[in-house]
Amino acid sequence: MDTLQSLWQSSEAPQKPTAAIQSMMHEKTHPVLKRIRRQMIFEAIAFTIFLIVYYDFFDGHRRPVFTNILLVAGLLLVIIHNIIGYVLTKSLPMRNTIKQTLEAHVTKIKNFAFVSVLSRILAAACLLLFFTFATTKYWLLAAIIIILIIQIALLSAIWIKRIKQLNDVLSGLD
Amino acid sequence: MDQAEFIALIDKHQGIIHKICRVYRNSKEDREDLFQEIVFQLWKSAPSFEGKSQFSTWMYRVALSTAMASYRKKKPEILYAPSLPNTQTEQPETDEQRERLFAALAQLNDSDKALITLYLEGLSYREIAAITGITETNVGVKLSRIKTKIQQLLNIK
Repeated sequence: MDTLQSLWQSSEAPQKPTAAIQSMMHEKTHPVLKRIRRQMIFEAIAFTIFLIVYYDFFDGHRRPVFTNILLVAGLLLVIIHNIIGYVLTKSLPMRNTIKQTLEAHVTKIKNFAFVSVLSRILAAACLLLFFTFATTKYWLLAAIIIILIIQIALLSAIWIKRIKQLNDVLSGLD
Repeated sequence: MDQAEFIALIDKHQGIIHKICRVYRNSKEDREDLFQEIVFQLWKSAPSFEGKSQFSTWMYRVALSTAMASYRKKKPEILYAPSLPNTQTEQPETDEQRERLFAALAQLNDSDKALITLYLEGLSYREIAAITGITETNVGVKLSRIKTKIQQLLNIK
Protein backbone atom coordinates (compact mmCIF):
# COMPACT_ATOMS: atom_id res chain seq x y z
CA MET A 1 0.00 0.00 0.00
CA ASP A 2 2.94 2.35 0.61
CA THR A 3 3.91 2.02 -3.06
CA LEU A 4 0.37 2.88 -4.11
CA GLN A 5 0.35 5.84 -1.75
CA SER A 6 3.59 7.19 -3.20
CA LEU A 7 2.31 6.59 -6.76
CA TRP A 8 -0.83 8.52 -5.90
CA GLN A 9 0.98 11.38 -4.19
CA SER A 10 3.47 11.77 -7.02
CA SER A 11 0.69 11.89 -9.61
CA GLU A 12 0.70 15.23 -11.38
CA ALA A 13 -1.65 16.84 -13.85
CA PRO A 14 -1.01 19.90 -16.02
CA GLN A 15 -1.64 22.99 -13.87
CA LYS A 16 -4.57 25.11 -14.93
CA PRO A 17 -3.70 28.79 -15.41
CA THR A 18 -4.99 31.30 -12.87
CA ALA A 19 -7.22 32.95 -15.48
CA ALA A 20 -8.93 29.60 -16.17
CA ILE A 21 -9.56 29.04 -12.44
CA GLN A 22 -10.95 32.55 -12.15
CA SER A 23 -13.42 32.01 -14.99
CA MET A 24 -14.57 28.68 -13.44
CA MET A 25 -15.76 30.52 -10.34
CA HIS A 26 -18.56 32.18 -12.28
CA GLU A 27 -22.00 30.85 -13.04
CA LYS A 28 -21.82 32.27 -16.57
CA THR A 29 -19.12 29.82 -17.65
CA HIS A 30 -20.39 26.75 -15.76
CA PRO A 31 -20.82 24.03 -18.46
CA VAL A 32 -23.88 22.29 -17.00
CA LEU A 33 -25.62 25.51 -15.95
CA LYS A 34 -24.91 26.97 -19.37
CA ARG A 35 -26.73 24.04 -21.04
CA ILE A 36 -29.69 24.34 -18.65
CA ARG A 37 -29.87 28.11 -19.20
CA ARG A 38 -29.88 27.63 -22.98
CA GLN A 39 -32.73 25.12 -22.72
CA MET A 40 -34.65 27.39 -20.33
CA ILE A 41 -34.33 30.37 -22.67
CA PHE A 42 -35.42 28.25 -25.64
CA GLU A 43 -38.49 26.97 -23.76
CA ALA A 44 -39.36 30.42 -22.42
CA ILE A 45 -39.23 31.87 -25.98
CA ALA A 46 -41.32 28.97 -27.35
CA PHE A 47 -43.94 29.36 -24.60
CA THR A 48 -44.05 33.15 -25.05
CA ILE A 49 -44.65 32.76 -28.81
CA PHE A 50 -47.32 30.17 -28.06
CA LEU A 51 -49.04 32.46 -25.56
CA ILE A 52 -48.99 35.34 -28.07
CA VAL A 53 -50.54 33.33 -30.91
CA TYR A 54 -52.68 30.66 -29.21
CA TYR A 55 -55.71 32.96 -28.76
CA ASP A 56 -56.06 33.41 -32.54
CA PHE A 57 -54.64 30.08 -33.72
CA PHE A 58 -56.57 27.86 -31.34
CA ASP A 59 -59.75 29.94 -31.01
CA GLY A 60 -59.21 31.04 -27.46
CA HIS A 61 -62.20 33.38 -27.70
CA ARG A 62 -64.54 30.44 -28.36
CA ARG A 63 -63.46 28.56 -25.27
CA PRO A 64 -64.51 29.33 -21.67
CA VAL A 65 -62.41 32.02 -19.96
CA PHE A 66 -61.32 29.66 -17.17
CA THR A 67 -59.73 27.24 -19.70
CA ASN A 68 -57.75 30.19 -21.14
CA ILE A 69 -56.59 31.18 -17.66
CA LEU A 70 -55.63 27.60 -16.82
CA LEU A 71 -53.68 27.25 -20.07
CA VAL A 72 -51.60 30.36 -19.28
CA ALA A 73 -51.17 29.20 -15.66
CA GLY A 74 -50.04 25.74 -16.83
CA LEU A 75 -47.33 27.18 -19.07
CA LEU A 76 -46.20 29.63 -16.39
CA LEU A 77 -45.96 26.70 -13.99
CA VAL A 78 -43.53 24.95 -16.35
CA ILE A 79 -41.39 28.10 -16.62
CA ILE A 80 -41.36 28.58 -12.81
CA HIS A 81 -40.51 24.90 -12.34
CA ASN A 82 -37.53 25.30 -14.72
CA ILE A 83 -36.27 28.32 -12.77
CA ILE A 84 -36.54 26.46 -9.43
CA GLY A 85 -34.69 23.50 -10.98
CA TYR A 86 -31.91 25.79 -12.19
CA VAL A 87 -31.50 27.40 -8.76
CA LEU A 88 -31.41 23.98 -7.07
CA THR A 89 -28.91 22.59 -9.59
CA LYS A 90 -26.39 25.30 -8.87
CA SER A 91 -26.57 24.98 -5.10
CA LEU A 92 -25.27 21.92 -3.32
CA PRO A 93 -26.24 22.13 0.38
CA MET A 94 -22.80 21.93 2.03
CA ARG A 95 -22.81 20.56 5.59
CA ASN A 96 -20.08 19.58 8.07
CA THR A 97 -19.44 16.13 6.59
CA ILE A 98 -19.84 14.45 3.19
CA LYS A 99 -22.54 12.19 4.65
CA GLN A 100 -24.58 15.14 5.96
CA THR A 101 -24.17 16.99 2.65
CA LEU A 102 -25.41 13.99 0.67
CA GLU A 103 -28.35 13.46 3.06
CA ALA A 104 -29.39 17.09 2.60
CA HIS A 105 -28.94 16.74 -1.15
CA VAL A 106 -31.13 13.61 -1.32
CA THR A 107 -33.89 15.39 0.64
CA LYS A 108 -33.69 18.34 -1.74
CA ILE A 109 -33.79 16.08 -4.81
CA LYS A 110 -36.79 14.13 -3.42
CA ASN A 111 -38.73 17.34 -2.81
CA PHE A 112 -37.89 18.68 -6.24
CA ALA A 113 -38.80 15.36 -7.89
CA PHE A 114 -42.24 15.56 -6.27
CA VAL A 115 -42.69 19.19 -7.39
CA SER A 116 -41.43 18.28 -10.85
CA VAL A 117 -43.87 15.42 -11.41
CA LEU A 118 -46.77 17.35 -9.83
CA SER A 119 -46.16 20.47 -11.94
CA ARG A 120 -45.95 18.32 -15.09
CA ILE A 121 -49.29 16.70 -14.23
CA LEU A 122 -50.92 20.06 -13.51
CA ALA A 123 -49.51 21.64 -16.69
CA ALA A 124 -50.66 18.65 -18.75
CA ALA A 125 -54.14 18.83 -17.17
CA CYS A 126 -54.41 22.56 -18.01
CA LEU A 127 -53.40 21.97 -21.65
CA LEU A 128 -55.73 19.01 -21.92
CA LEU A 129 -58.65 20.96 -20.54
CA PHE A 130 -58.09 23.83 -22.97
CA PHE A 131 -57.77 21.72 -26.10
CA THR A 132 -60.39 19.12 -25.33
CA PHE A 133 -63.04 21.08 -23.44
CA ALA A 134 -66.50 19.82 -24.44
CA THR A 135 -64.98 17.66 -27.15
CA THR A 136 -66.86 14.69 -28.49
CA LYS A 137 -63.74 13.09 -29.97
CA TYR A 138 -63.24 10.70 -27.10
CA TRP A 139 -60.69 8.55 -28.93
CA LEU A 140 -58.48 11.62 -29.37
CA LEU A 141 -58.87 12.53 -25.71
CA ALA A 142 -57.99 8.98 -24.66
CA ALA A 143 -54.90 8.97 -26.90
CA ILE A 144 -53.66 12.27 -25.46
CA ILE A 145 -54.23 11.06 -21.90
CA ILE A 146 -52.29 7.83 -22.58
CA ILE A 147 -49.36 9.80 -24.05
CA LEU A 148 -49.32 12.11 -21.03
CA ILE A 149 -49.44 9.17 -18.60
CA ILE A 150 -46.47 7.56 -20.39
CA GLN A 151 -44.54 10.86 -20.25
CA ILE A 152 -45.22 11.28 -16.53
CA ALA A 153 -44.32 7.63 -15.86
CA LEU A 154 -41.00 8.13 -17.69
CA LEU A 155 -40.29 11.32 -15.76
CA SER A 156 -41.05 9.54 -12.47
CA ALA A 157 -38.77 6.64 -13.46
CA ILE A 158 -35.89 9.08 -14.16
CA TRP A 159 -36.30 10.65 -10.72
CA ILE A 160 -36.59 7.28 -8.96
CA LYS A 161 -33.37 6.13 -10.66
CA ARG A 162 -31.55 9.33 -9.67
CA ILE A 163 -32.71 9.10 -6.03
CA LYS A 164 -31.77 5.41 -5.87
CA GLN A 165 -28.29 6.23 -7.21
CA LEU A 166 -27.80 8.83 -4.45
CA ASN A 167 -29.20 6.52 -1.77
CA ASP A 168 -26.75 3.80 -2.88
CA VAL A 169 -23.87 6.27 -2.46
CA LEU A 170 -25.19 7.21 0.98
CA SER A 171 -25.58 3.60 2.09
CA GLY A 172 -21.85 3.16 1.41
CA LEU A 173 -21.21 5.72 4.15
CA ASP A 174 -23.25 3.91 6.82
CA MET B 1 -11.66 34.95 2.02
CA ASP B 2 -11.30 37.27 -0.96
CA GLN B 3 -11.10 36.21 -4.59
CA ALA B 4 -7.31 36.55 -4.90
CA GLU B 5 -6.75 34.52 -1.75
CA PHE B 6 -9.14 31.83 -2.97
CA ILE B 7 -7.49 31.59 -6.40
CA ALA B 8 -4.05 31.30 -4.78
CA LEU B 9 -5.25 28.45 -2.56
CA ILE B 10 -6.91 26.62 -5.46
CA ASP B 11 -3.74 27.11 -7.49
CA LYS B 12 -1.72 25.53 -4.71
CA HIS B 13 -4.07 22.59 -4.17
CA GLN B 14 -5.42 21.99 -7.68
CA GLY B 15 -3.64 18.63 -7.82
CA ILE B 16 -6.24 17.33 -5.34
CA ILE B 17 -9.09 18.35 -7.65
CA HIS B 18 -7.37 16.79 -10.67
CA LYS B 19 -7.01 13.47 -8.85
CA ILE B 20 -10.63 13.48 -7.64
CA CYS B 21 -11.81 14.17 -11.21
CA ARG B 22 -9.60 11.37 -12.47
CA VAL B 23 -11.10 8.88 -10.01
CA TYR B 24 -14.74 9.91 -10.41
CA ARG B 25 -14.94 10.53 -14.16
CA ASN B 26 -13.71 8.53 -17.09
CA SER B 27 -13.67 10.85 -20.09
CA LYS B 28 -11.55 13.98 -20.42
CA GLU B 29 -14.65 16.07 -21.09
CA ASP B 30 -16.45 14.80 -17.97
CA ARG B 31 -13.34 15.48 -15.89
CA GLU B 32 -13.17 19.05 -17.19
CA ASP B 33 -16.85 19.55 -16.32
CA LEU B 34 -16.35 18.12 -12.84
CA PHE B 35 -13.22 20.23 -12.28
CA GLN B 36 -15.22 23.36 -13.06
CA GLU B 37 -18.17 22.21 -10.93
CA ILE B 38 -15.83 21.64 -7.98
CA VAL B 39 -14.17 25.06 -8.32
CA PHE B 40 -17.62 26.66 -8.62
CA GLN B 41 -18.93 24.88 -5.49
CA LEU B 42 -15.73 25.67 -3.56
CA TRP B 43 -16.08 29.36 -4.36
CA LYS B 44 -19.76 29.33 -3.43
CA SER B 45 -18.97 27.58 -0.16
CA ALA B 46 -15.90 29.71 0.59
CA PRO B 47 -17.78 31.88 3.15
CA SER B 48 -18.34 28.70 5.20
CA PHE B 49 -14.57 28.12 5.50
CA GLU B 50 -13.75 29.55 8.89
CA GLY B 51 -10.09 28.57 8.96
CA LYS B 52 -10.63 26.21 11.93
CA SER B 53 -9.38 23.31 9.83
CA GLN B 54 -6.77 23.23 7.08
CA PHE B 55 -7.88 24.53 3.68
CA SER B 56 -7.10 21.14 2.12
CA THR B 57 -9.38 19.32 4.63
CA TRP B 58 -12.26 21.64 3.80
CA MET B 59 -11.46 21.26 0.12
CA TYR B 60 -11.62 17.44 0.27
CA ARG B 61 -15.05 17.66 1.87
CA VAL B 62 -16.52 20.04 -0.70
CA ALA B 63 -14.79 18.46 -3.71
CA LEU B 64 -15.73 14.87 -2.83
CA SER B 65 -19.32 15.85 -1.96
CA THR B 66 -19.59 17.57 -5.35
CA ALA B 67 -18.15 14.58 -7.22
CA MET B 68 -20.52 12.19 -5.46
CA ALA B 69 -23.65 14.34 -5.70
CA SER B 70 -23.35 15.60 -9.26
CA TYR B 71 -25.27 13.70 -11.86
CA ARG B 72 -23.66 11.42 -14.44
CA LYS B 73 -25.58 10.34 -17.49
CA LYS B 74 -23.93 6.95 -17.75
CA LYS B 75 -21.59 4.75 -15.81
CA PRO B 76 -18.00 5.40 -16.75
CA GLU B 77 -16.37 2.84 -18.96
CA ILE B 78 -13.19 1.33 -17.65
CA LEU B 79 -10.47 1.58 -20.21
CA TYR B 80 -7.25 -0.31 -19.85
CA ALA B 81 -4.44 1.03 -21.96
CA PRO B 82 -2.36 -1.84 -23.35
CA SER B 83 0.69 0.40 -23.41
CA LEU B 84 1.27 3.98 -22.49
CA PRO B 85 3.13 6.62 -24.44
CA ASN B 86 6.20 7.87 -22.66
CA THR B 87 5.34 11.55 -22.65
CA GLN B 88 6.74 12.47 -19.28
CA THR B 89 10.18 12.51 -17.85
CA GLU B 90 9.30 9.72 -15.39
CA GLN B 91 9.98 6.04 -15.91
CA PRO B 92 7.34 4.53 -18.22
CA GLU B 93 6.95 1.70 -15.73
CA THR B 94 5.81 4.15 -13.05
CA ASP B 95 3.34 5.70 -15.49
CA GLU B 96 1.91 2.30 -16.23
CA GLN B 97 1.62 1.43 -12.56
CA ARG B 98 -0.17 4.72 -11.95
CA GLU B 99 -2.56 4.08 -14.82
CA ARG B 100 -3.32 0.66 -13.39
CA LEU B 101 -3.93 2.18 -9.97
CA PHE B 102 -6.39 4.74 -11.38
CA ALA B 103 -8.10 2.01 -13.43
CA ALA B 104 -8.52 -0.07 -10.27
CA LEU B 105 -9.86 2.90 -8.30
CA ALA B 106 -12.38 3.61 -11.05
CA GLN B 107 -13.96 0.22 -10.39
CA LEU B 108 -14.83 1.03 -6.79
CA ASN B 109 -18.17 2.48 -5.77
CA ASP B 110 -18.43 6.23 -5.04
CA SER B 111 -18.17 6.02 -1.25
CA ASP B 112 -15.17 3.64 -1.39
CA LYS B 113 -13.50 6.02 -3.85
CA ALA B 114 -13.85 8.85 -1.33
CA LEU B 115 -12.35 6.80 1.51
CA ILE B 116 -9.40 5.49 -0.48
CA THR B 117 -8.72 8.94 -1.98
CA LEU B 118 -8.39 10.41 1.50
CA TYR B 119 -6.26 7.47 2.63
CA LEU B 120 -3.91 7.72 -0.35
CA GLU B 121 -3.59 11.45 0.29
CA GLY B 122 -2.09 10.47 3.64
CA LEU B 123 -4.91 11.51 5.98
CA SER B 124 -5.32 9.73 9.31
CA TYR B 125 -8.39 7.61 10.10
CA ARG B 126 -9.50 10.37 12.45
CA GLU B 127 -9.31 13.01 9.72
CA ILE B 128 -11.08 10.72 7.24
CA ALA B 129 -13.86 10.13 9.80
CA ALA B 130 -14.24 13.88 10.36
CA ILE B 131 -14.51 14.59 6.62
CA THR B 132 -16.82 11.75 5.66
CA GLY B 133 -19.04 11.63 8.76
CA ILE B 134 -18.54 7.93 9.53
CA THR B 135 -16.95 6.61 12.70
CA GLU B 136 -13.20 6.08 12.99
CA THR B 137 -13.71 2.34 13.60
CA ASN B 138 -15.88 2.07 10.53
CA VAL B 139 -13.24 3.92 8.47
CA GLY B 140 -10.72 1.27 9.52
CA VAL B 141 -13.04 -1.63 8.66
CA LYS B 142 -14.02 -0.17 5.29
CA LEU B 143 -10.47 0.75 4.33
CA SER B 144 -9.21 -2.72 5.15
CA ARG B 145 -11.85 -4.17 2.78
CA ILE B 146 -11.09 -1.59 0.07
CA LYS B 147 -7.33 -2.24 0.28
CA THR B 148 -7.91 -5.98 -0.17
CA LYS B 149 -10.12 -5.28 -3.17
CA ILE B 150 -7.51 -3.01 -4.76
CA GLN B 151 -4.78 -5.55 -4.17
CA GLN B 152 -6.95 -8.16 -5.90
CA LEU B 153 -7.66 -5.82 -8.79
CA LEU B 154 -3.96 -5.11 -9.18
CA ASN B 155 -2.96 -8.75 -8.60
CA ILE B 156 -0.75 -7.80 -5.66
CA LYS B 157 -0.11 -10.64 -3.22
